[in-house]
Parts: sequence; C-alpha cells; structure tokens
Amino acid sequence: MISGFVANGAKVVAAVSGVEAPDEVFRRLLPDAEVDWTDVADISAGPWPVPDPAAVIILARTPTDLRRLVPLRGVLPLGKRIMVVVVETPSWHDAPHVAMSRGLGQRALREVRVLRYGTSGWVVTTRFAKELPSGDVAAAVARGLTGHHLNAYPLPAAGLGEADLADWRPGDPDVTCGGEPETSGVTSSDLAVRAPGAEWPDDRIPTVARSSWSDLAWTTIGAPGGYDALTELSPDHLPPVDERSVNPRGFLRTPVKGVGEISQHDGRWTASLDGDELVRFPESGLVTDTDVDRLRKLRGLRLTWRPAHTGPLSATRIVAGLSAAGVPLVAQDPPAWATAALGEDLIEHLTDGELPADLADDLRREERSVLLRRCALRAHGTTARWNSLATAAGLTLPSPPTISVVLATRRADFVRFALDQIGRQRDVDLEVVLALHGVSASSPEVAEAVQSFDRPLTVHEMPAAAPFGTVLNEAVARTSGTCVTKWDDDDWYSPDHLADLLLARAYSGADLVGVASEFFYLEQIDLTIRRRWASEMMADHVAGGTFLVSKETLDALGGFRPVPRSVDIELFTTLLRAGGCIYRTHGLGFVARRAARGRHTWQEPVGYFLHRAKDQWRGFRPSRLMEPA
Amino acid sequence: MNSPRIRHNDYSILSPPDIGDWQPYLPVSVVIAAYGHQDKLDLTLAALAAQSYPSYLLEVIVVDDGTSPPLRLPEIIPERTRLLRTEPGSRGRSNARNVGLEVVEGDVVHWLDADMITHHDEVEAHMRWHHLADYLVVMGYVRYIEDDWPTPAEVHAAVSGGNGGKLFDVTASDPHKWIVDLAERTDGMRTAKDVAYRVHVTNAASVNTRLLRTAGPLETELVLGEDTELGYRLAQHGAAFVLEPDAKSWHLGRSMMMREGDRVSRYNRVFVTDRVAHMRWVRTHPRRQWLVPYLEVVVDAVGATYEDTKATVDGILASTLYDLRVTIVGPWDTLTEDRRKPQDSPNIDLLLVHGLYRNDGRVRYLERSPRSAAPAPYRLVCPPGWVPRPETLRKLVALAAEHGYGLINVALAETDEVLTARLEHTGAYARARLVATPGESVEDAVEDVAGTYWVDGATWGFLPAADAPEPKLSGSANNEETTKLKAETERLELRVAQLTEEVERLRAEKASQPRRRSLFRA
Repeated sequence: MISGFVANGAKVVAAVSGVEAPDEVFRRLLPDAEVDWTDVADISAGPWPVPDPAAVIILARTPTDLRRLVPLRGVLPLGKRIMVVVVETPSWHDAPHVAMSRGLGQRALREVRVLRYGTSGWVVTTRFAKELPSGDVAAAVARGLTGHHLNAYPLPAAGLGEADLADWRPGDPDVTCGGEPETSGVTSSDLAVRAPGAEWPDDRIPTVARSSWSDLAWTTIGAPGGYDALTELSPDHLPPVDERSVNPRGFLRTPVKGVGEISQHDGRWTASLDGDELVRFPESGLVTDTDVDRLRKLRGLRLTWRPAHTGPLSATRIVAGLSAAGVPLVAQDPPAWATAALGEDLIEHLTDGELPADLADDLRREERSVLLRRCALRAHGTTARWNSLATAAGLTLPSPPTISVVLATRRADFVRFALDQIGRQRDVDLEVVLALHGVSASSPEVAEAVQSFDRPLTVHEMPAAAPFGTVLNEAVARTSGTCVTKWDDDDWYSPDHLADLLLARAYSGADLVGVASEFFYLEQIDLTIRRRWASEMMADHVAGGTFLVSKETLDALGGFRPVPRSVDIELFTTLLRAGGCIYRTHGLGFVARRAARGRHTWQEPVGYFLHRAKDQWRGFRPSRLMEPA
Repeated sequence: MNSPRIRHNDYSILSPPDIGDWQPYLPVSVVIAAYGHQDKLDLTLAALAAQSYPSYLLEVIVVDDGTSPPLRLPEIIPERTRLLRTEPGSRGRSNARNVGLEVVEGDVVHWLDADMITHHDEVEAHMRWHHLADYLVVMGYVRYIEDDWPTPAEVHAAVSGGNGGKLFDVTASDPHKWIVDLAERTDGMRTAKDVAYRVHVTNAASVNTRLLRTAGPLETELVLGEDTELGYRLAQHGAAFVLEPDAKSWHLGRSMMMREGDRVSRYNRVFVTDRVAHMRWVRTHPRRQWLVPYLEVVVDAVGATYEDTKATVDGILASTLYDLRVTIVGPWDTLTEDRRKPQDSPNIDLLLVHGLYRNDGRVRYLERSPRSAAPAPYRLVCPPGWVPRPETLRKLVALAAEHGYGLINVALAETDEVLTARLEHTGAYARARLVATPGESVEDAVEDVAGTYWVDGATWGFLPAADAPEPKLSGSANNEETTKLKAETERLELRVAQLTEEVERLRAEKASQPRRRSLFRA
C-alpha cells in the first residue's frame, strides 16, 4: 500500500498496458482510492472520463509495456501526482529513476519515491508543483531503465493514427497521435502509420495503412476477400520489435534447462517446458523483456506453426521478437505466410542447422543465437522498420554512423594482416587511421599493404618513444567518423565484427561497446581456448582491441591517458566514474592472439589462460561466425 | 590396409559389409589348443570344414598339448589343417597356443577352443571386421550347451546347410553372460573405453596377427586368465575391441568359469591383477606395489642437477597414487667414479642420483626411455626440477581416465617455448602410431583417437623444486586436505543456512500475496 499519495476516496485515472487484471493492482497499492482505468488499446484522443483527477497512474506489466505508453504522451492525462508502476522487470534491470528533461518538468518536481513492487517490480510516485503530462513522467522512467541518454531515434518524426498503433514506435515520446493538422505551416510528423480506412486529415504527411493483429486473425482472413491481405504480407506489415527493450541482453551462454516448446492453445501462444507453462504471450504477439528473461534459462525453443488460429501477425511477431532477443529458436517447415512476413533470411536461420546437436553444444547454440538476433534486429527492429517505411515513402534518412578504425602498430609485418581483417568488414561505412609506432610508412611491408587497401586510409607516423596513449590520441585526432574503434594488429575479427558493435550500441544505448574477451589462440602450443566471460550485459570492461565509442564521448573524457600501456582500462574507469556505461556484447567474432611473451613481459603466462579456459580445442578453432578465409 | 581412426573403443565408424555380400581376401589362421577329447575336436573340425569363408583363405592349426594317446586329425577337416604337438616340459594351454601362433601364416589369428561348433558364417563374421582395420580384436557370441553330441557328419551337414543354429535347443543353452551384460552396458563395447580388453577370450576371439605378435605371446606363467591378460596388453598396443553377435558358436559343455566361477576368480584376483593395471577395482590398497604399475613416470636426469632430480623423484614417490614406478634416464652404464675423491667425479650429479634410489623397489635406471610404456597404461614424462604435490598425479590420471584423454600436457613454464610435463595414455599412443600418416605428428593422431588436453601446472600442483616442500609422512598431506575440506564444509553450511532463510522469507512473502500470479499476462 502506498500511503499519503492520495486521500481516501480520491478519484484517480490510470492508463494500463499489458496488465490483465489492473483492479487488483490498484486495490493493493491504493485500496481506498477510486481508480478509473483505460487500457492502451482503448485510449482515444478525446477527454478522459474523470475530470480533474487527484492523481494519474501509469500501470505497465513490464518495461516493454511501459515503453508502449511513451508514444501516447500527447493523449495521456495531466496531473500533479503521477505514479508509474512496472509490475515486473527482467533480472538485468537496475532500479528506475526519474530522468525528466531540464527545462520541461524537472524544475517542478517536488517529491520522488521509488519503491519495490513484488519481487521484481517498481513503483515510482511523483509530486509536482504544477500539472504536467503524465506521459512525460512515463517517458522519464522508461529512459531511466536503458542506457540511452536520450529517448530519441535517428528517424523521421512519426505520427500514429490512433493509440492502438502505439507498438509501431515504442519508447519514442516525440510521436503525434491522431491526425489533426497543425495550424502552423510545419507538419506534426514526417511519416505516419494509421489504420486501414481510417481518417487522416493532414494530407501533407505521407501515411502507411497497417492492420492490427485482430484484423488479420484467421477468422477475418477466412472471410470473403480477406485472403488478399495474406498474400500481400511482408516484413513491413509486422509491428516492429522494440529493440531497446527486447534484445540479446541477458543471454545465457550455458543454459540450465532443456529445450522448450512454443505452441498455440485457445488463441494464445504459449512457451512451455515439459508441460509447465513459462510464458503465455498476449494475443497481439507482443514479446516483452520479462518474457525473454523467463526464457533465458532454456537451451532452446521449438515452435510448431500449426495450428495458428491467432492469425499470421501474432505468430510471426512472436518469432521476430524472440529471434531479436537471441532466444535459440527452431521453427521447421514454415508456412508461406510466415516466410512472407518474417523474410527469407530469418526463416533460413530458423530452419537451419543440425538439430538437436546444434542446440546441445553450447557454442553452436550461441552461434545460432547470434545469427538469429542479427538478422531479426536488422529486419524487424524499430529503426529498421521505419527506415524501410521511410525509404518506401521517398523520405531522406539520416545517415548511419560512420566508423573510424584506429590501428596502432609497432610491427610492419602485421600491417597487411590487420588491414585484411578490416578490409573484409561488412555492412559498415569505415575509414582507417594507421598509426605507425616507430615504423616507417615507406617500409616495403607497410607500403604494399597500404597500397592494396581499398577503403579510406590515413597513415600517421609516430616516434617509437611516444607512449601508446599519445599515439592513439594523435590517431584519433585524424579521424572523421562518428565513432572510433580500436583495432589490434595481430588479432582475428569476424567480417561482422564492426556491424555487430553498431548493433549492440543501438540496442543497449551504452556509451562504449565492445566484445567479451573469450577466445584466445595460444600460438606457442597451437591451442584455442574459450574463457568464461558472461556477455550481453552492462559491464566494467570489454576486450581492449574491440571497443567502439563515439568521438564525442571520447573527446568528453579527454581521450586516452598518455601512458605506455593499460590505456583501455584507464579509459573504461574514467568513463564509468563519469557516469557512462559499457556494454559487452558476444565474443564469437573475436580471437586474441597470444604469442610467445618475448618483449611482452607483462603478458600473463600461458598457464593463466589454461586455468581460465572453459573449453579448449587443438589448433586454431574460432567460432563459425569468424568465417576464416 | 585401411587405418580408420577409432576413438577410444567406439568402432561405430566401421561399417562391415553384409554377410555373404562381399569379397574377402585376407587369410586367417584358426589356432586350436587341444588336450584330450578327440570326440569334441572332431566336431570342431567338422564345423570348420563347412565355413562360408573361402577355404583357400582358411588355415587351421591344431596343437595337441600332450594327449596320450596323441590326438589325430579325423576324416572331416578343412582342406588346410595342420596338427602340431607341444614338447614335454613346455606344456600348458598358453604355451600350446603360442606354439600355434609361431607358425601361423594368416593375417588374422582366430583363437578357438577344441570343444566349439561354429556356425557356417562364424569365420566370415569375424573377418568382415578385420578387412576394415588392422588393429582389431573381434569377439564372437558363444552359447554353452550340455547335451548329447551329434556325429561329425551330422555337424558338417547341418553347418554346411547353414543350419548350425538348429543343432541344439537354444532355450536349453546359456549365453556368455558377463559379455552379454557388459555389451548391454557399453553399447556393444563402444563406450567401454579402458575395460574393453576383457572381451579377448580365447575360446572365440580373433586378432590381427601383426598386432598379436607385437603385443604377445600369451603369458605362460599364467595358467588361468591368460587371455584377459593378453587382451590388456593388446589394448596397450593400440587394439580396439569389437563384439560381433553374428559370429555364433556352440560350446560343448559349460566353461570352467561357469562351473567354478568363484574359485577361478579367487585365483585370477591374485595372478591376473598383478599384471593388469586397469583392474582398479581390485587394486584398492593404498600402498601396494604390483608387477605392472598403473603409472610409469620418466625423469630424464641428463643435464639436471642432483637436487632438481631428487626433488622431482622424491615428490613423485610421495604421491598418493602409489601404484607407480619411476624410470630415471641417464648414461648409467658409462658413469665413472673417482675412487679417491668421489665428490670430484665428472657427472657427480648423475652418480649421486644413481646412488640415491638404487635400492628403492619403485625406481629403475634406464639408458634411454622406451618408446612405449606398455604394459603400463599411463606414462608421465616429467622434467627434473618440477615437483608434483602428493595429490597431483592421482588427480591428473583420474582426469585422463574420466575423459579418455590420450595426452594431457601440463604447462609448467615458458620462454619462447612452453615447458611441459606430459601424461600419455599408452594405448592411445600405440594406436596413433598405427594410424598416423607419413609426416603426420603423433599428437595429431592422438587427438583423433583419444583427444588431447592442456592444463596449467600451477593449478594442478606442479611446483618448481625451489618452492616445493620436502615430502612428509602422508598424514600431513591428509591433514592439509582435512583442513581444506573442513573449511569448505563450514562455508557450505553457512550458505545452506543463508539459502534456507531466503526460502523462508520468499515463502512468507508468497503467502502474503496469494493471488499475485493471476494478475498478469504470464
């Protein structure tokens, strides 16, 4: 019970997302108040039923559900007392806080309380000096749950025809709901999604008509003329996955439970293990972060397409959501509508592999997870979906971030090897700054390697005596990309290494991302080992030769410390102390080379790696994602 | 000959052709040791004369172990049958078989008892495996019957017609029970790993001749269990053991093991255990020594200081794995001692090492390390100056045994190269040498046939001599272990208490919110 929030018998309004029996929650929290609630699907642009409520409650089952309410900011009620309740959060979530914009609401804030609700939920109560949109508080709490410092997408401004379409732009408060034309000359949005046949008064804004799941249920499709909707299905017809809450975070490398099943009962898709129900998905097919958390312990999930009475949207949405989260999913024999809605690439990964052996082996399982998530995030994430819609509407898109690869080396004979690794990076726009640390650019190995490299490259010579940190700073000063990444001259990188880092940056919102330093090739004894690092989590360090950080953040931290070594750890520490966050993504696309110690006397002995190895393989044995040449 | 790489004893990679549907080319020699019982021998030979295996590839050698009057070859016999006799003074079943082994010409030796009636395709069933790999032992399925025997002509007629199975009432016969049971537990020996050798039973096993000559012959000192012991040695030379349920035969009368099992076991526990190091279930005594040690440790003393070698050997001899022998390698034959001032002798360090252990029953001195540790099943090569802790070797060998590793490399120290101690599985190395292609490293082949593994020396208790404590009465090691375990127990008890409290708390919480689960879309 929350005491002192409202007086006994006070009239309170609530907006509800994803909670099936909200009255019981209200009774528990505010037993003496009179709560009038509306579900997100039924919210309309019109006035709220209770005039002048004593308080406003935003009630969401999960953080993902809370993010569905954020785009409805404009239609949620105003209040001085606003309570945000998240009934359950995934295990990797930290305590929420209220991160309102300065200049908007933070000045008016008079009181904040953050309380635990149940075993994993949270209640945030706020009191303001004046009435504020409750949607601003919902947005502030939602932002406080992720690494993103801004609730923004580098995308065209979005409009939604009605609240029921909120899933199309989760987590974005800069959404206009309802199509009323702005009186000014500036349109309210750049691109809008509306229901088929619904009114959209502002004809200056291009719109896309999208059916809700219930309009595409089999009962509707079975009606005369309904089948046409099925034949026109494409990935663009699925509401996108909210990649900032449903993503690989929390992936477990060594699951403790077996392979579960996803099947359909009584109109609802259900994930179960040995007959025990783990997750019962809502009819809309929305996958939330806490649902993903419940499935993390499973080795895999097998989906049976038939019977799929819920219609194609719910089923395929679940598959897209779970795939984006990296849940090792298997879905053999997909019907044609599934292939149409999910895309052939994703279907190929869902049906691929030697089963069940590929799920039984931890490494094979993780490889499958990475391939699935990569494909699903790129095809079904919110960013991907709106990029696609905008392209189809002929809108200009902001460019994706460019990457400057900083490669500092003391060894002329490794330049070729390193540039080859960079040259095969896929799906990224990059340049290289090659910092030659006591090596001459005119040495034949360097000249030849530089000559045959066909992407933008800047060479910078530094004296051998310069400390490593200084060498890096000089190199960074010569970059022009949005992001800077550090590259080791003798390590192996998968062709998707940089693209995976950008993806992790996009879904985690971290200031710095890098991979887990798991794979080592111990050159002296011709052995590949894998360490036990957990990945897909906020962490305090990543592999030094892999991190990616925005130029702006790096500048804000003052660059690298001008010291001869440990520059990475120093940078991580500075960033964390400054309030930034580091995300560690999977380590399957990186193998560190551990050669004879030679001059590197600070290097750990070979036994150090053997002791920490969870797996070992004779020879050079990277993951399959490495695609060795 | 093909050299497919059977891993451990998993012969699933071999796909034998169907019986009657292939073209054999390898000659086989059936070796039968006989004493008395001319009547049973006549039946054995009659059945062999009716085999589906081509007669020009089938040789039979009967060795009469001193029967009086001497045994003779009957009327119905295979085309190529020889009768030999053992000499007085060198008699016994093992010796008789060895006499036969000396003269065999076939690529495969098929042991058979003189009271066996084989089915018509028994030899063929054995041989279809031997055509697939050259390091196999194949064991057939024998059924034991107590019945009136038919005549040789009846046997020959029945077996020729493929009706060997109808000669007796199967329901009245007994299977070779322990083999059938073992097969059941081990997927037909495929998962039997180090105990597969037990199926080398000379009443119905066949062995590649070259392998048999390398590993053999039968140990004549053993009167019983000699085939088990040879099976063990075959395993140390790389043999893989195949069970062939289609190689069927009848045994006339019950075996000695069946009739007097307990008394035979009692005998074998003494005489076989001494030579078969894998009989860990019998070798349970903490301090016994046996003829064949479980672990052979090789320390090369050349170039090492006396102190380093002593520290290493002392550490090994203080190991809780007592069932081991240390071989110190050095130029022992050519060492010379200065008789006036021995302390000034050249090679004084080696002289001291040689003097130190010469009366220790578990230490021997060799000029060079033998290529194989056989018949010892494991060998550790340990550089002098590195000392294992008392528990180290026991744990290391247990790790190898659990996973079947053919090689465990222990990383001790490094310069440009990594200095290692190496634990080798004798059988895996032998098989690796058999299957390695020219120019291929033996270790690569070991990886295929058994697996290799690296461990960190420091973690596993290898210390540099300078840091290693002097070995003490083993009680101290135990005390150390006890202290460690006590601390661990305390820690776990605390944890249990914490968790119990947590469970109580959660239960209480749950009880206070009885309907929480029903609130949400689960």
